[in-house]
Amino acid sequence: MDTNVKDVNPMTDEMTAADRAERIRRLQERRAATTTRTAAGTTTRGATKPRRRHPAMATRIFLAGLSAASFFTIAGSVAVANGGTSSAAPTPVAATPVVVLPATRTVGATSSSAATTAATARAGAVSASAPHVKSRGS
Amino acid sequence: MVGPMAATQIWWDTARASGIVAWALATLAVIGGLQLSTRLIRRPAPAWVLDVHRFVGGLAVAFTGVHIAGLLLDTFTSFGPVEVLVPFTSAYKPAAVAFGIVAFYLLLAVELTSLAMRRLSRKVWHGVHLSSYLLFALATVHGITAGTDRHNVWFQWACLLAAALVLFMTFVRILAPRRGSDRPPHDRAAPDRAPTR
Repeated sequence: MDTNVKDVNPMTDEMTAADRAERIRRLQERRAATTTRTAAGTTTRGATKPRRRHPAMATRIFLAGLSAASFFTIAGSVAVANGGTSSAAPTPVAATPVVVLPATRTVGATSSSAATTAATARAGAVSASAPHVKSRGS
Repeated sequence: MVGPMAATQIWWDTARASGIVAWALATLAVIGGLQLSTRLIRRPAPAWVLDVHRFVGGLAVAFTGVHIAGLLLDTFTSFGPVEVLVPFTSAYKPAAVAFGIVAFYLLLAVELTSLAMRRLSRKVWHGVHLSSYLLFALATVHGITAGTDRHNVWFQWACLLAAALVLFMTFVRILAPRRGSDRPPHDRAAPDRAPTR
């Protein structure tokens, strides 16, 4: 800190151009020093505060991982359970016999197979012509 | 090698798995919220529970999104945007699917009002937040009635235990004295309260 510089209170004392220039110079010096120290890795007054950590950050990560693991485990086990049924009914969806019922076709049905499924579901019974529908229930 | 049948089942399996996970996360969020209001267990700090409660709620919304996306992408079923968003338009179990659709809207409302908590009055936020009870009930009924896994013993037990726990904590919430009267003033401005404007 400079001691030979006249301390001027801008609120009460009259400031000269030299005083103003001196104050600006000191402010710039302080700012430069702060920037240098922050770059060196130390926290200083005036530097931006590090963001506050969430109280349950570790639990958040754990729960996100657990959810993802559960999702893949369930999806995998369901897929494995359906594996036997799939091989028993390997008919591609597009190759299934199309039973289009215009009166019962749903708004969102975009393909013939979807219309078939919708009609089958509405009838409340699994059609023998669409054996793949049965595999959905496993 | 993935066969053609297995390839077409991927989105359906995705929808099933994400639906179960979303339900579990929503249940956990409801239990966390009840823990915050009842302070039934002393040990976890309220700030910690609140953080987990918020995060799990957001995660439930994300997995519900995956559930809906899976249904839309699945070419096997007839779920289009209308069937997924408008109740009673689905050909497959319209009532059961409608429960899920309404639960989804409630989940969105709870999440969005929580995100905009500082801009809303506490009364509005709390009113919407109370619909979480209905959301849990509807999501559970949706899973039991519409879900393909409703016959799974593990799922049935999970539903039963979750419903029992939520019911018990709700009773405690109703019967226990309100915390506001016996808390010190600095504690009354807890982080779970919306700041007044």
